[in-house]
Amino acid sequence: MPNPFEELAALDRLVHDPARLAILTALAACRSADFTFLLRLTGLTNGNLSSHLARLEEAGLVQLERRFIGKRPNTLIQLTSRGRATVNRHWKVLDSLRKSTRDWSPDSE
Amino acid sequence: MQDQRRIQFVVTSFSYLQGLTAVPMGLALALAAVWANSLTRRAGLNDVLIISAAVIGLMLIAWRFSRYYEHEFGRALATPEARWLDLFTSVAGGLLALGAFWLDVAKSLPFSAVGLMCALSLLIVFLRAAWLATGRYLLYYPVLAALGILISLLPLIGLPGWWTTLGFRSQLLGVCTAMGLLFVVAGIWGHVLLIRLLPRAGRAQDA
Repeated sequence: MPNPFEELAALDRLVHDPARLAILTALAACRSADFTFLLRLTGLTNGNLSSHLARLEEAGLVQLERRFIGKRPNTLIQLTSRGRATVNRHWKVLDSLRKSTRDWSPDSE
Repeated sequence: MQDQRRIQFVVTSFSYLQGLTAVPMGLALALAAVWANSLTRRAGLNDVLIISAAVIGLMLIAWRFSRYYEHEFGRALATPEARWLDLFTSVAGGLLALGAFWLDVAKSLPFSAVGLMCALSLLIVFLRAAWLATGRYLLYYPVLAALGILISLLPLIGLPGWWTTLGFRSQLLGVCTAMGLLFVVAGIWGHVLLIRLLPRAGRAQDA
């Protein structure tokens, strides 16, 4: 049976990247958010946020809707059902890892 | 790594953190109470038109503030669960507020029902945030609610007629002014909190 640190190393990097995890966590707490909101929330630059969103969209975890509000372009982002399940599962794994690393000792191997 | 609870809090309480929109509402409540208190005769059409224009002006300012938030901080649409919770508390709160207003006007109570309702509404904002994510950022809400409860119960705890000392003709007018000011404080505090939680400067990070 792998120890908690091996499990930690095996986490899905697509989701576990700090910026992408922040984006997915935010989207899991709402129905949808726009690009400006995620920009302020994550503190990323325009380019970095676009790049992270493109990777998440490519993986089928988020869905982007590009539209105009008046004359201003506005991108609305929401989790897909797969994305929601993925981020929920990821936080469950992290919670359980946090507990097991706390209880872990070299003797328990 | 971003703190999960902080993110969930900002997203789920985003509309409540747009505090500047609550400032004109609080001012409108306080202004209407002070205006009613200043009347020495029955209000005429001109009086009503002037106060209505002032209140509508404040509502327009609140709308402008909501546009500012949308432009500066973007949009986050609440989950259906949070929307239902807000709808239920708004409708129930509205009905209870009407009942409280009737009680304060029709009965001579040793406390203010309207004040208690306002304090309850502040407490509900805190409980909502605590239920959906965390209440630790909104601890000033229970403090303001406690202040509201204290003001509402002043006649019961040995200060009957406190409003006359401040120049108000009735408890209701004094309480409405105080509650309006509490909403203003909550609004300004919420705005400062939002600015601190969502700082403007972006930081470079590897994609």
